[in-house]
Amino acid sequence: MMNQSPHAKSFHGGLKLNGHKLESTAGTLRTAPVPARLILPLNQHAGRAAVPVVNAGDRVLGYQEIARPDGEISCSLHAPTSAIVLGVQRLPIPHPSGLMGDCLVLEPDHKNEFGNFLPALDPESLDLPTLLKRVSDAGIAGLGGATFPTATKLAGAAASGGITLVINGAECEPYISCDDMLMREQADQILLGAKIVLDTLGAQRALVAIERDKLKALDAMSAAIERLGDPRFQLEKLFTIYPAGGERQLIQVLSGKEVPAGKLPIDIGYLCQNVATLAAIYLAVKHGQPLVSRITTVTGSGIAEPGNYLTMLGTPLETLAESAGGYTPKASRLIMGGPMMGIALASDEVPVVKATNCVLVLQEDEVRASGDQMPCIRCGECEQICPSQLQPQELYWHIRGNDLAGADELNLSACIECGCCDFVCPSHIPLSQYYRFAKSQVRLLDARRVQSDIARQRFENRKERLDAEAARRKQRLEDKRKKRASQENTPGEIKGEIDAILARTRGKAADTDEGGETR
Amino acid sequence: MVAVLLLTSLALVFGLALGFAAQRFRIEGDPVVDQVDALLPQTQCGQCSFAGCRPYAEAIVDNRADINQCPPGGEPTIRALADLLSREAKPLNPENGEEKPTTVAVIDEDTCIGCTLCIQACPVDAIVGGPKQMHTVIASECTGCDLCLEPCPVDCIDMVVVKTGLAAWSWPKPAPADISEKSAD
Repeated sequence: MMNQSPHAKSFHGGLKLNGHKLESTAGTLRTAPVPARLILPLNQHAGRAAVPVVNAGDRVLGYQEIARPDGEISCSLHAPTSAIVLGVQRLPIPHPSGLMGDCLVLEPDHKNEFGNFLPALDPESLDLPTLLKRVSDAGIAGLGGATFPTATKLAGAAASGGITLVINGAECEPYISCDDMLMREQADQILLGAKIVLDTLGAQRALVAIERDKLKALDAMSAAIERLGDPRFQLEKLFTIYPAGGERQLIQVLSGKEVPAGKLPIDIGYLCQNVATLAAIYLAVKHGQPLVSRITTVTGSGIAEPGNYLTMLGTPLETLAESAGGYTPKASRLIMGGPMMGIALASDEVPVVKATNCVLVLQEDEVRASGDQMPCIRCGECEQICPSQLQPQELYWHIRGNDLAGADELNLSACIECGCCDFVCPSHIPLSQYYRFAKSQVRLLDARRVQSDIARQRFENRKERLDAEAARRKQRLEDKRKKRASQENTPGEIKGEIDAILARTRGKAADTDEGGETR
Repeated sequence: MVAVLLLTSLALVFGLALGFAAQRFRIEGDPVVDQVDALLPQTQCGQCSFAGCRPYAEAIVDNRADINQCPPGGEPTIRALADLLSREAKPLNPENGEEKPTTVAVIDEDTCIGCTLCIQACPVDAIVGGPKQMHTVIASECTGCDLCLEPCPVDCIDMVVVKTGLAAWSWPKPAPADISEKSAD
């Protein structure tokens, strides 16, 4: 089935941006060289850091697991090629904090020997637990950028039947073209991966969502849908508007239904998966290949030969930039991700991780100077543009005044940090930075509250215990006293005895007197 | 006459109903104290001059204490208390101490003589050990209240600032626009 007309339904706000995609999509997909050292941060996914299972000096084969997940929301890591393990080191990682992180460092031996650690599975006869285990064993995380462990997401979707799978090929952020390139080159892999998910989850239909200006990707994907011949697949052409690729925005465009704030798409029957994640699922199931590489766009005016590179996870950005012809003399700013949501990096020593969809190098004059901020003039532009229908200017006032509770009441958590408000703000206020700040503060305060609740419980338990101990001691003293009292005579008896003694002595005295007389 | 009787009987009926409701739906404890207590950081450090967070909460509700006496809670706690009680937020009272980074107690296990005095002082039972046995702190349960420092006869407990790793990292707050400079332009 084909849907030829673009969607009339849309979401609130959004922006038409200059795509800058042609620079990186002119050539074909290239393969980045094996670097001298592979740096694999243990926490390159949402959730808890992975735990290393190899030691320094070990020789590992390609695809071998080198770190296993820790808990429900975590992801394993695999060796991208045969290598010697140099150990766990604290190195710079691609993170906005610029802090160091624990990384497994491998030295490739350039023999490119791969082990057969995960047996190939038959996609036709796959049940859900097997799929979830395989996706988890292959270390697959959402490759759209959020890197949420895919097995956990699929397990959450498995509970609700009759879902619609959204195959997210809407790559709305400027400069990034890795998903576009993947759809051109590996359309069949994406669809077969999607089919595996459809079959095992018992989903009803799959919507392949692609923007209508991605002509080559549209051609490749519609041809692949024809070849697959599965009536559940349907191609959906989207208007090119940022951020149409956001999970909630995309579902709103496709269904006309809004995902309520605080709920997940699955709560209204939609499961959204990035195209690269689906291709990774296919490779993991069909070929037993874990997630060890991804397509990364290397682009921007600061790069000599922009393009898309199939890159091993752990490749330093330096190596990647070199294989893209190196930096131009005017290169000044290194960004991981796109210009709207990406994070600025301090050094190109950091590696490609599962989330690295794009390495963007810009010139000085393309980056807005941070000093040109002006006061808010309450123009309301940000409110017009916000795809989450928030009140960015109100949020800004609350956060500026450190009133996080007030910001929370305005649904701060529904902000997707797309940066549209920053873009339109005539006063150049870094609005989404305020929201990022507030969100991380809220998260820290919540963690503190949990901690203080535990402390209160422990304090109260201790008090209860001390009180109980004191009561027991009192009871013991009481008992002892009673026991002594019961062993001895009662006051009445004592008095009787005294009287008896007195009577006796008196009697004796009388006797003596009498005796005296008798004497 | 009828009016007087009617009003009297109404007063009686309502009086009885209210009296019954007051007994039947009596609330044990003071719910406001619970709400205040929930906002306090539960360090149980006593810097507020009360013997723990709950006594301080009771004192705040009884107007025996001000809302700015909790150094571990700092500004966010004062703000939350001000919101809850509709009082004016004010800066932390310096007499009670100053806002410090979160710390955790660490026992120098070579020096510890196993006297159990710190175990008895810990308000949250975060120190384990026995008489003449080495003691140690369960770091994840320690509230950093400093109460174990005082009783230690060999001074073997140190308060160490908790390292803020990636999990405790927060995006920085952007600096607001400098209006004075702009208007001078």
